[in-house]
This record gives sequence, C-alpha cells and structure tokens, in this order.
Amino acid sequence: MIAFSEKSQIILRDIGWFPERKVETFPWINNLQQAGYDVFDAARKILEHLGGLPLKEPSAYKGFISLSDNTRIHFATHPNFDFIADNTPESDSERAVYWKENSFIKANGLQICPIGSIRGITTLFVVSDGRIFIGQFYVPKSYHGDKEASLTFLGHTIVEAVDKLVERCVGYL
Amino acid sequence: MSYLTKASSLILRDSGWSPQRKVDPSYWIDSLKKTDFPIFEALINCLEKFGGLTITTLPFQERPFFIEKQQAVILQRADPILELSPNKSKAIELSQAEQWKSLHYLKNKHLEIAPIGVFRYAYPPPFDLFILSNGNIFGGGRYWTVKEGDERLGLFYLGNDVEDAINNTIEEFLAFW
Repeated sequence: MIAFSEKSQIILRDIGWFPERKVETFPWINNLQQAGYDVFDAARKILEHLGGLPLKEPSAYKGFISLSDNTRIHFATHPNFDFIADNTPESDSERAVYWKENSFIKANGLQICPIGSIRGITTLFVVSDGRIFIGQFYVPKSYHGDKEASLTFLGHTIVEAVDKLVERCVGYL
Repeated sequence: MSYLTKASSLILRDSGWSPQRKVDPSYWIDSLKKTDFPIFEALINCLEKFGGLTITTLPFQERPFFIEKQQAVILQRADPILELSPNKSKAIELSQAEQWKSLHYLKNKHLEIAPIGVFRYAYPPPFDLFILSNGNIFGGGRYWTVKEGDERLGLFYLGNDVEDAINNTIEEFLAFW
C-alpha cells in the first residue's frame, strides 16, 4: 500500500508493521465517531494500515545500520509515534469541537480526525485531503484566554509525515 | 531548486533578504580556503544568495499573519536562528575540516562538504550548518553515541537545498488556528 523510506521501514517493522498489514478498524472508528469525529476515507485507510501500532522503546537502534546504498546511519532517538487513534492527547469528546472548529479546517472546508500521537504529548491528525498535521493546545503568551487548538503541518501524505518524523532522528555517520 | 514558502519569504524579507539579493562571497571563501574545506559551486551559489543573513522567527512569534487567507502564527516554543556566515561555525573555529571530510557518508556518495553557518536554538549548544556538493543542507557538530564509549561525529538532514532547509526549519514552528 505505502512506500515508506527504507529508514522508516526499519522503525515501523520494529513496532509490528509489515507492507501487507491490514487490520480491523471497528474499535477505533467507533470510539472516534462517539467522540464526535467524522471518520472519512483518508483516515479509514490510514487506520486500516497503521492502526494500533504502539509506542515502543528503542531496540534495533543500538550501533549503526547500513542501508542498501551502503549509507551508515544511527538512530539517535526513537521517533516515538503511535497510531492508537482513540487514545490521543487532548482530542477527546470535549476537545473534538475545538479541532473541528479550527479556523484553518473550517475555512478550507476540511474534516479532521486523530490517527495517533507523538511521544504521547501531541496528536497526529489527518485532514480529509490526506495532509497530516501535529495538533496541540497552546496558550499564546500574548493572549489572555483559552488555549488555542493549533495545527502544525507535517506532510502532504502519511508517507511524507512518517518519513519526516523518522528523518529527524537519523544521524549520518 | 526549491521555492521558498510564503512564510519563509515573509520571515526572510524581514531579515533583509530579497529575491534579487546577490552578495560577494569572497570573504567567506577566503576563510574556508585557509581551513582546508573545499570550494564548490553549490557553496558559492548559497553564499551569494543568503550569505551574511541572520534569519530569526522572533519578530513573528505570536503575531498572527496570513497565508492564503489563513491565520498563521509562529509558536513561541523556541527561537530558531539561522546565521548564514561560515566563519561563525565551530568547524572553522576548531579547524575540523579533516574530520568532517572523512565521514563515511560523504566518501560513500563522493560528496564534498563545507560549513555555511550555524543554527541556534532556544537552548545551547548551537550546531553547524553544512552544504554538500549536491546542494543538500545538513546540521552537524554533535557527537552521536552509537554505543557506550563509541561517539561519532555525524550529520542530520535539514533539506534538499538551502531554500528547502529554511522552509523545513520555519515550518516546524508555524501553526494554523
């Protein structure tokens, strides 16, 4: 289904992924819908392929790894993402409305759905055109009021997003 | 060559950059020659376009601006500053040319490397910015602990070219709400 980079595949395989993976999405989709999210096609496809993959402590990251082009890399830290969509930070039923009402989402006529988290601290979202964003509630210092539901762009596709998260952890020796 | 995003253009213009900017890089080239770093075309092009600039998101932090009618802000998580002046790099200060040039990654791909400046984050230490002869931009200056007692100098990828590296750096701090 998805052509992740060689580096991403090393990380993903370590948390239980394989290229043909396809899992039952019912529990996550049901919980997301009950929380108030619309689970659109792009979200459904990601959950089918990656849903349920957990955070995992580094294991295969000791020493350096030689890639197929003989490049030597070292994972200095683990990207620490998961794809447990119904247990992401600050995206429960009380918060769903803030994400759906985010001005960027509304103005572009998009839908938004959680797909996982990074380090259990920020939420990974997919929007209905397939783009991936990192979401977090943020209290601007210059404002006096509520937290803002802010979205930072991560990738045009899930592949680009995962590859980018993995690349941030790679050292070229 | 990558195109600068709207946010990057806005922040770069605030730092004194313009699309027509072209400066004489000979001062930096002379410094690099004295330290055994190679001089190559991608390096010269980069310094002509961006040499001497200090690019910071600080003036834009939490000051909403608009991209394609969308309100965007720079989050105040950190104050990333790119200083595109090779002479500020540790690689020059510490005469590390031979160490950097001997990296396996560069030899394997037959690439040359030269420092183009530093990247300062909210917390120290800053790390060096490097350009390779294929135009790729990497950060460096960290020793990676491959295993206990085995620390190696290494690079980490920032962008396909300098425009891409600037876009990627700014993008990490840019939020929509």
